[in-house]
Amino acid sequence: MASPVRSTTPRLEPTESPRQPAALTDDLLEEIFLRLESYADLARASTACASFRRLAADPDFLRRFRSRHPPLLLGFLCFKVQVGCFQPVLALHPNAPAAHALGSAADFSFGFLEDSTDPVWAPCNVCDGRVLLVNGILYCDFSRCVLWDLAVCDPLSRQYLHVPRIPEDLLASVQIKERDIHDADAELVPSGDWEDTSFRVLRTVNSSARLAVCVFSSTSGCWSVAASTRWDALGFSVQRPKLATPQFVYGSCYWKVKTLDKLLKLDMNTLVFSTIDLPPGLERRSTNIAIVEAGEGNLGMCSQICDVNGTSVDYYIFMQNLSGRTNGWHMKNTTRLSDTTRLSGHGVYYMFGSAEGYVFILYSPQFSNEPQYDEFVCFSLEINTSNIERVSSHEYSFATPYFGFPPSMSPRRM
Amino acid sequence: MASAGSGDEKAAAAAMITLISSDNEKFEVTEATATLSQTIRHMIEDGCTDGGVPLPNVTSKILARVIEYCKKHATAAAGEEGSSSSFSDAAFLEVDRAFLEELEEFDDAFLEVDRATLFDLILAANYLDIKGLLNLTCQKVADSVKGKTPEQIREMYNIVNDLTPEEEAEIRRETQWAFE
Repeated sequence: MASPVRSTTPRLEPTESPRQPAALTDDLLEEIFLRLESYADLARASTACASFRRLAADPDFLRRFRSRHPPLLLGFLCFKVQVGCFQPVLALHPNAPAAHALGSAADFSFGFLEDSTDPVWAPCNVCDGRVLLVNGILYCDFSRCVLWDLAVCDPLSRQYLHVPRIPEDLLASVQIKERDIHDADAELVPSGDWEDTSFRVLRTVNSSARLAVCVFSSTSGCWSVAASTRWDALGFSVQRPKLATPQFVYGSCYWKVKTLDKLLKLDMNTLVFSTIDLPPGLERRSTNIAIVEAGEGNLGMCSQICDVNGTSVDYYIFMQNLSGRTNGWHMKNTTRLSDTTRLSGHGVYYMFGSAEGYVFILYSPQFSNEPQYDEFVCFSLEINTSNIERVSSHEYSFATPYFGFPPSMSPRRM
Repeated sequence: MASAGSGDEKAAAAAMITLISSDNEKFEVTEATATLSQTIRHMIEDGCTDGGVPLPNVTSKILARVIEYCKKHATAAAGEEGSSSSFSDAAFLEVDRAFLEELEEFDDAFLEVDRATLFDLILAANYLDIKGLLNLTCQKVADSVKGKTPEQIREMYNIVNDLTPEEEAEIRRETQWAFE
């Protein structure tokens, strides 16, 4: 290649022209590319020449790159009656271009599922880029049918898998009859590994006398009972406790026990139930809680508190002392939402989810009976730093954060 | 235990290794400095360093810089080991922090080189298997690409665009979002 003319350095001596860098091997190029700061940097570098392109499109390289670059908050999957929709992060957010690319590449109407028109598949849970869908929720008599048909899909590749109903004889094996079930929440179990194409669905089957946690595995295609117990064996002070939506932290599943200062824990490895006391009086003060990973294997909790001073999020860490006996919850900090979000007035905050080290808070500007709805504003609160950022606004009151990768760099999800 | 350890260190510090560059220049370094390179560490372990270690892939100019890096980082590593046994925790943390700051400043100054030298350092770090130096230099190149367009990257690193117009159009479609 002819040496470029450098108008900025008009020197006469030919020895002054800069030496051209030596050629690097593919392995060294890979070491450099792995250290690129962002997916956007990788995308731009990949268009420089054929060898860069080959490397950036290589599945093994992309796997290594993703292991060093966590998934991005791309937007929210919003639920409204039976329709789901993807709401990308705000235009000013650094992930907005990738979010819009995902929005156009993926199908969040879920029209690719068979029988997608009648009855309707409605999204109810998002995890690791997969969406859990419920069939026909609108047409069911809630009191008679709680074990709705489920499906799991990847809206990007448009692949999906029907999840069968929990077989009656499986429930019978733990002394539960379908007609006695009063609730059966369904959740995708986080795999913690974006490269894993298999997944699990967990259902918390509540009957009047018993609780059974059933798990569907995409590998076996079958349901199994992970654990079951009589309610009275758990020693709660209420006869028929109600459980909030389960949350997964460090390979365990946690349910807040409604009306009590208690957490129910299921260790997903040992499949043993245990209970954890929450700070006394939390149930009275807190509207809802998020169980989070506090680092170093410690359990963390964000608790939304509403009082005369407004709304705040208290962050607790569950510490264990050296003797191994639990030492209880220690409050680490308080984030006052009205101070940090710069929103004040008549709105209401609602902490609605947690993922990837953040909790998410929805602000409803007018909590009133007026039929008009203004846009909900969504904030992310970074748990470790207490940084609050406005990330989205939309007209839906139910939303789940959607983390993922730019479409061409996303791993197969199923 | 502590006295035995420091005795070993003294012995290691006393042992000298001769490194010979591609242009036949000789460099005398301590074993502690030389063994930051896994390649040389293995040669020492195999007892094949008598009469010097020829490094036919590394010029004297680059070898001098690599040795500068290894000396600094070997000193820092020895300092950290020594301090852990003789300081209280708080003092140790303080010393640790000071070491790290000093090392960071050294590394920043060390990377103030032209691109050709930087690439030569990457090749040398890879050949000599010096993990810290390889990480440092690769990271420097990666950082220089941040926010750059493909045209700027090609110009910076003298890369010829050998993509066909069709290929380029296809990649552009796929990565359009990264240009917004």
